[in-house]
Amino acid sequence: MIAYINGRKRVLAEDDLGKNLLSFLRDELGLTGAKNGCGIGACGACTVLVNNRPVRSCRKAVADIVDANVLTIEGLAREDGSLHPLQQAFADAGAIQCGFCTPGMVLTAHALLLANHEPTRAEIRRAISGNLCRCTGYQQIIDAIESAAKFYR
Amino acid sequence: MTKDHQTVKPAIAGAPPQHLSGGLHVAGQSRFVVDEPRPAGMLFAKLLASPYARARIISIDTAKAAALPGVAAVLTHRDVPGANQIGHAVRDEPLFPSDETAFAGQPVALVAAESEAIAAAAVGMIAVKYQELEPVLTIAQALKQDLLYAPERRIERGDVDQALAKADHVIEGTVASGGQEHFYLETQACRAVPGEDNEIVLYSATQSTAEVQEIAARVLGLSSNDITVDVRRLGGAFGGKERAATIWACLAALACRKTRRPVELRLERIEDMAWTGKRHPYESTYQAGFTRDGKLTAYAVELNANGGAYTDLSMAILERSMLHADNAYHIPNARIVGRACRTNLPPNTAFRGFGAPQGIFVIERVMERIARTLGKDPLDVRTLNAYREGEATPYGQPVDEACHPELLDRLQRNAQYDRLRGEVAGFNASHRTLKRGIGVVPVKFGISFTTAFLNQASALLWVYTDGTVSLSHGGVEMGQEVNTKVAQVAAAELGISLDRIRVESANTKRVGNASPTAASTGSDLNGSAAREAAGQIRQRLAPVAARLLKEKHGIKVSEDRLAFANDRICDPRHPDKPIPFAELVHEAYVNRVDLGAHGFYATPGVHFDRAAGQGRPFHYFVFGCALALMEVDLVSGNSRIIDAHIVHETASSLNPEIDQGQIAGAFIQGYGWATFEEVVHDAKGRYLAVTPSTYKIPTIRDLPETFAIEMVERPRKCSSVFGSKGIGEPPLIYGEAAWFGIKDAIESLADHKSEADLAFPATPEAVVLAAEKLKG
Repeated sequence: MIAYINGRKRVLAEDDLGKNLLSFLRDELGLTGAKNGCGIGACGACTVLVNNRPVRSCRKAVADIVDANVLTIEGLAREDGSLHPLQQAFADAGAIQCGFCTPGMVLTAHALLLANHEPTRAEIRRAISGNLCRCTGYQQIIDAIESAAKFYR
Repeated sequence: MTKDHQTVKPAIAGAPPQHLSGGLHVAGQSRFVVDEPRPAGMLFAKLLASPYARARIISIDTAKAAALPGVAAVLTHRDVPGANQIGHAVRDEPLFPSDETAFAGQPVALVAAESEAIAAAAVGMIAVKYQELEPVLTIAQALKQDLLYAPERRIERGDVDQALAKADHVIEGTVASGGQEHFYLETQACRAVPGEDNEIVLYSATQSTAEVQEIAARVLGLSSNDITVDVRRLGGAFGGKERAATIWACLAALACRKTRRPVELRLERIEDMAWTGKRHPYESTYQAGFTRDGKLTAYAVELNANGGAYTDLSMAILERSMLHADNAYHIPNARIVGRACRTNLPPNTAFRGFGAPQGIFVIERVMERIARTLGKDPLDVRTLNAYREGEATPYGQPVDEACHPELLDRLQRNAQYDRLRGEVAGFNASHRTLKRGIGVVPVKFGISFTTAFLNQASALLWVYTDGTVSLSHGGVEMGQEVNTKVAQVAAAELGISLDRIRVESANTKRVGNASPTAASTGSDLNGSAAREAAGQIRQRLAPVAARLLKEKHGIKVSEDRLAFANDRICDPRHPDKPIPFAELVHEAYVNRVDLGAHGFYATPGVHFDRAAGQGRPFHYFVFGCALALMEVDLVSGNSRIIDAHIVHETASSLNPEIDQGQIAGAFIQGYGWATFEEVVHDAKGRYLAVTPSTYKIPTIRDLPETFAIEMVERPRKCSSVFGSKGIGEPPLIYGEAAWFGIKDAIESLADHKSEADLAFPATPEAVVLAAEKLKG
């Protein structure tokens, strides 16, 4: 059994299948960008993309990613390490304060923009409504996503 | 640069970045406590918490848990080698209770094991016998039993009783405001790592490095120099990690000391929400006298805070409530009484605003009632009563550079207030179940720790021979971007670009005795200390630069006329012939010039006599105001915010983008507190909403359609480093405007002739109840 994690093929052991996906990514693969914010799938900090759809990794098992493409925040930057335009937009718009919700927020926005290159502000709100941020008040997050949309067209 | 540097915005080479860690955050590369690679042999700690708010502990049997394979230690009060005491301002809080639990969620025992799963299983095997006792949960119960943390406190000015007797109108009432869960995204956490000898390093998610160090040493029976506390950043805190992080760090430290292995303790969200203290709920009573024009002449208020199970920061929080009981209004005769009640809830603690929002809410209710009594517009009443330049507060500090009449005027213009009033009236006339209302709240917020000695800070700055800089300061980065601001200050002082500076973790070895990063003072205090350190380096570099300019370019210039800017040093008359900063630094090094500096800053002139209730507790005040346009559905009770307008005086902001982010985030947080964030507990003192699916914080759907923030940037004498002002807390209070907007909407039912009895927070239930009451 395999999964593609950030573009790299990874063989999954039988033992791994029952493991919690968030713990697996963080503790075994060292991909600590996904955060444990609530453990019940309600805050969005653990969001990763599975086949370009946002999932709450804290509520998933490794079995759920068999044969799938998994994108974590570590896989979004370009090969040369430079930031993806969406990441740059978050940084430029001041859409970040403490940074704990940021990886999940960026990935959720990435999934939206892959599916919808010209989202309205209302559509952006709807897409992000399951991701909690306690610092920013969200306004700059909407601005960042809106300004990054052009890079997906 | 000269003395007037103080009020001149720093010249930073290049555009200031939003956040020094921004690139790391968006790439998922920034590390929080539990993101660091795990040290070899690390254990995981889990806690057994008291299920009872108050119970006698009859016995604790840990034998079965200790025997579970993979368990390294099971610890209770019997295992504390030093003092079983983690109180700080007041020593009244045990690490583990020994005879009686004081709140539901209090840790009674700790298990350290090879995995979280084993630790959790072992916790389930600990047998504790309790005898349940009757808890005290409410302010009313505590007041009845005289359960106060200290004798009531008083601030008095003028003759309130006489002024009440003479007033044209007298009103009285009671006002309650609710608690609030911090909901920092990163839950409480600490990693304790043993070193050689007695050393332990605590990677603690705390706002208070020195407090954690001091108390961990006390609990372990060690010295402060055995304990190092290191904090790179926090995933939000909002006051919830100022005092309330200490217990988790001490528990991890204890387990580390006992096992001699690294230990990680991280609370699950449900544990964090169920066990930790919140914003203090308040129940207050007031009497107010005013003239027929609406001028407040007398105000007697009693502010009662629910402090929870231990003193924690309750007395300081109460003090700030009392010092903000006047908010933005001049009151010639005032009597402010404060009481902090002991109850059996988790110890309530610091939360952005630190008591000020609760004190301010009461007098804002009074302003509204004055307006309703006289049939005036509440905004006019607020403007009429606003401080004018130099008028004194009830505690005797003059309000210098008071500007509320002007700021309220700006707000009226920005929001087109008169037109908006007309539109709202039209809307309400044509809608039966949907009603709209407007709320306005001005804020005056005093900056400084009211415990005067805390107003000090240090910074440690090293310039390396390649011209790069390592900067440590006492502030903890938690999203407020104190690192960015402090780096900007040092960069400006040295005339170098920000990318030459690395801001290090907050670490007790590099910066000792640091005050908590709190009270909106992080950038003021630490920025000033960093400026002092950078200034020393500059002074030492100047003679070297003067000599180099002469040798290299034949320029004779006195040291005090040198310009440090754009990574170069030059004679301002010959800007084309500079010395590069890196070259200068290297030259200084080979000439044995000290390139390290420790800067220290103490805020001048702040003092407060608690017994007399008089003094000058604040270095300066922050001023601003906010308006919220709200809509309520009287059938469902749901409300929404349509527009928000804020006018906030930033003075000479160090970084307007950061300040705008603070204003927006704080407003939304305050809006949540005032409207839908409801902290509820059952009759046994157990919090009921302990997950994000049952406790609602604002989501992106709760943003107003129009969110307009005007920052009034201008030089102010009463300000801090480079003429800037603190920003973190004051804008939270703007969120109260949403509550007043909802109330205004409900009152349209009775043509604004009588007041709605609306509870706080203004939940859907509260809205429906208030509307039904008003309709009769």
